Amino acid sequence: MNKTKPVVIRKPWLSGIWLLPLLSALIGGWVLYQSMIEKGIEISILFDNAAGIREGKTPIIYKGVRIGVVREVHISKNLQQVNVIAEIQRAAKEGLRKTTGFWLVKPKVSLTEITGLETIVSGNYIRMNPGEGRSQRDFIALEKPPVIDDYTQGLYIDIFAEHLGSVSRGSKIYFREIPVGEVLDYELAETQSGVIIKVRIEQRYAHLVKHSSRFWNASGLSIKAGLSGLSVHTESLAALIAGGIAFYTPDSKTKTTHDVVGNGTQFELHKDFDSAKVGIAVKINFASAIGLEEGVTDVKYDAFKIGIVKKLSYTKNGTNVIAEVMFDPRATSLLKTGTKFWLDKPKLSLTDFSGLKSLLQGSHINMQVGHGEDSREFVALNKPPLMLAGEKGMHLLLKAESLGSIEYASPILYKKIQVGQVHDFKLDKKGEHVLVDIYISERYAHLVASNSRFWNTSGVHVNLGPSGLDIKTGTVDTILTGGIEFITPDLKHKKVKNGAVYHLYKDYDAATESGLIGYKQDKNTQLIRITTEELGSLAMGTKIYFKKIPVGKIVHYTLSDKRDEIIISAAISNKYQDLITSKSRFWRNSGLQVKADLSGVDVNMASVHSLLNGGISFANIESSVVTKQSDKQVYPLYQSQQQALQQTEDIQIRFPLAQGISKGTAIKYLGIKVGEVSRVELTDNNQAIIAHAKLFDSATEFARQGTRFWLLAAQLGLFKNKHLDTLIKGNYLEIEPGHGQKQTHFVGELNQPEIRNGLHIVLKSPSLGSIKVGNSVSYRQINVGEVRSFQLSKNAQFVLIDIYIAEKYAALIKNNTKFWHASGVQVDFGLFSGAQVRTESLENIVLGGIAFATPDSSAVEKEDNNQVFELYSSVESEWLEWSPKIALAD
Amino acid sequence: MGNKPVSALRQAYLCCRVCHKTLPQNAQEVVQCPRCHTQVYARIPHSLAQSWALLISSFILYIPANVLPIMTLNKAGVMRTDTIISGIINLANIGMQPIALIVFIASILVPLLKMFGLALILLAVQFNWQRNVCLRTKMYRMIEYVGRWSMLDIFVISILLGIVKFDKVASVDIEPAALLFESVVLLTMFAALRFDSRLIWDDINE
Repeated sequence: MNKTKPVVIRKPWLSGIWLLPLLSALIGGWVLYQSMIEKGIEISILFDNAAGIREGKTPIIYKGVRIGVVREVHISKNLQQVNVIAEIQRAAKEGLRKTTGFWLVKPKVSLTEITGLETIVSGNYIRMNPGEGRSQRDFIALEKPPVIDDYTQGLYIDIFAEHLGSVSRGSKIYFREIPVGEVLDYELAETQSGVIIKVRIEQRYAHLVKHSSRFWNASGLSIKAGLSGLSVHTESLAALIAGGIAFYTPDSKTKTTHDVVGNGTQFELHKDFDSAKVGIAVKINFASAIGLEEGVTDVKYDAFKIGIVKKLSYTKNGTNVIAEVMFDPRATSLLKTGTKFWLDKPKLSLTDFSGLKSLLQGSHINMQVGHGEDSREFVALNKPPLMLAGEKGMHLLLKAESLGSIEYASPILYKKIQVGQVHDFKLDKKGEHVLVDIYISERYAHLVASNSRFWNTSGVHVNLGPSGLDIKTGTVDTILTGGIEFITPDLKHKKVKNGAVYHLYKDYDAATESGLIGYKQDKNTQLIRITTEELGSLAMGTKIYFKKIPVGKIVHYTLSDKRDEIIISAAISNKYQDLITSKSRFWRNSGLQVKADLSGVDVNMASVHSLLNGGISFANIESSVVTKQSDKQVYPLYQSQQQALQQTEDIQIRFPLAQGISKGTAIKYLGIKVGEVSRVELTDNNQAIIAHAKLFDSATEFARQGTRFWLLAAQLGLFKNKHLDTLIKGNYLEIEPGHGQKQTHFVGELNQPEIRNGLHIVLKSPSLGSIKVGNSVSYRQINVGEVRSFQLSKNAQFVLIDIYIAEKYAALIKNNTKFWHASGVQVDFGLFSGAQVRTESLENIVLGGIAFATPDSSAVEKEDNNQVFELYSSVESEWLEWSPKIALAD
Repeated sequence: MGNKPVSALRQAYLCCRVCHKTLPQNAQEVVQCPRCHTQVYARIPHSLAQSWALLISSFILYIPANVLPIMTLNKAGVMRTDTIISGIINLANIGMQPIALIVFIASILVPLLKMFGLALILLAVQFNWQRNVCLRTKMYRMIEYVGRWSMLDIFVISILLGIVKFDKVASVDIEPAALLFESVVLLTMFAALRFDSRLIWDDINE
């Protein structure tokens, strides 16, 4: 019906949507292609046993790189083998050829090598060794790793042996006991008459193998038993256990260039070191054949076996024995004209462990290397030679009571350094003494003078006595083998000639007269003398300490002339000489000192050494008159540091009875300990006791006429607890100093006397509050007095409190001084100011007390005794701010 | 069949695809829906060609999606790479046949049915087959409905990928096939979407 003209829209021939299938095809194709590329090559490997192979996990490794993985493991149709399907990366495709080897790597732990340890964690893996030939996909696994592994460089040689011995695959090849290669494989020789051992020498050692090289079986322990002992010859421990092959290349004088060994060269394997005949033949002339045995007796240098006696024969005249010795080729440089040989017989000693071996092995020939031309013929000594350059030293004779543990070649020590050795010993003609012939080497000969003292340092001297344990040793060596030590007090002394005779003392103390000899002339020390009543743990060598640093030691002690004291001589090294003054005080280090009381624990420990050994310490007390110490001065030795350092005044106080007074009872002045009762004894008539006491330091001034002593003991009561501390600390003596003449004898009182000194004042208060007798009166929280008594006023209107202010502080009390109750805690709350807590000292809080303050004005008359003051119940803050300057009485 | 169906288009009516408003066909090709301002066509333009293109793309990608591995499961060092089919077989082998069946239906059967069903419908429209119109319509509805369930595999993999992350002990990695399979599913869904179902019966009864 509609006559509208049709609109013609030309459709494009192909819609853009058709690009989509194209794109899909491209993507799909590319992804497929990629996966084809990445997908490895499937190969099958036939294993006899697939233990440890896991599908999807066990990798194929080449040169340590994972090149594939086991995909499937099937059992073969005949159930005899396992077919492992593995996927190998395409990159390794070239390696998959006819001779390619696959083998399973498992952990191997043996004494000589540990391989495949990583497989313990990662599991076993299959290794590949690429081969040649045409491409192949089916393989049969190798039972063991192939000989040539990963084309390792090196020298490949064959060694022909009669028997395999303990050589096995992996056995090492040793050159001078260093492994330089290993046995790769072995097989029967074609003739079936022997074994061919395939050996690889590492590239860097390949040059060591020459055509002249001799190989011998270094496997295991070779033991030859004989009457003179056993011949034990081993290579390194690894070779001992795992077997091995050693070789040696003799030095060829003519270095020919064609003497380079190529791969595949054949060598012969000798049975052992001897049969390899790699040695240097040397003839040694011995006086007798005792201890020598063919093929057994070794030649040792410095405990190393370097040769062996091959043959023994008599000289033509039959007097001597010629030992033909085969030396290790390395010994060439040792065989000079000056070289000496002697037969070392086995001896058992504690220090020489090789001696134990020689006991098993029999005697061996020892040697000392000399200088000169090369030589191949020697004459053996019949006993060991002396020390080096023995001719030029000094020989001395020591006369001893007995030989002790001295033996041949025992060392001679000077200050613990070996300067010579015992050369010989014999009895003197009468057979009374032993004459020890010692030799001092030339460079130390000057240490010997006519006053030298020799003693035997052999062994350990243990001296157990009441004074303690005293152990003296020489060096460790001399402890075990014995030795002789000497000192020369004065090196300038007359020199001695060869052959001089000395006495050999049995020990150090005997030789040095308790050590005095050694220090008499010593310029580096200074001798001081200390007297003591008993020696105690002190001994020779006990150290002297200054501030716990050792500065000297006791070198000597002796009884005094009167035989009532011991005089100790101590050597102080010069470095510390200035520490010794006339005011030096010495005391015993008695180790640990623990002082405990209510004021704490005080532990004083000397150095650990002195703790164990005892010791003497000293310090210098302060004094205006310090003089240099004079040689004549003799210092007393105090029992303790405290005693030593205190200036004391000995006094005697007579008491009617001794209740509460004993040794150690303190003497206190104003609460401070100023002295101590040292001894309590009865008077002659037994009517009273006399307390011997010491006043310390400044308190020595109290030993004057007028000074009073009284005993303070705890007083308990509902309103009267006093001196409670004495319950714990013990009673003590209170002192009130006098001002009279010096006096040392006093009469003590058992009760507190009326104190006359000081200021008595009376406070009046509407109520007593918590005030008790004995409460403190404090000024700025320092106790300056105490409450003595209280009573009602006559009209019962007030309480009158009698207080006492110590004389020293009396000046603090002025007419306008304010007193208040200092008891308890005062807490103020305010909405805006917050809380304010003010307390007196803790003692006041608990016991109550009185505090006072004096206004900040100086022009106020001083108070008289018994003046009455008001006692306020609380403090006004204004009072607390007062801080007048008041001169206190001295 | 006394009452022959007469389509709206034949009666010069268009239907808005968005709000389903029925509009009279205008002289102009392009009509705008007065209600939702969508352009209203008689039939989706190029519907058949677009469906074909998408369907063919999905067929092409379906091959690598099934040949290549879909995911790698690393369990304590043992790597296991699975394609869809090998995964299903593995599931069945370890005794989880019901799950294997579900995965098989969702991953193999449904996509295949969908693709071939769609192909059948497209062919029928293309070559103007007259039979079984009703069946084809029902088939189309079913294809459109069931299409999203093919995503099951992808869901499983993506959940595993997120959850199983224990480094060396166990981990899951996706492989290229997952992406390809995803593409296949999407492409078939789009193919079904672009196909205008009205084309099925447009040319019958002529």
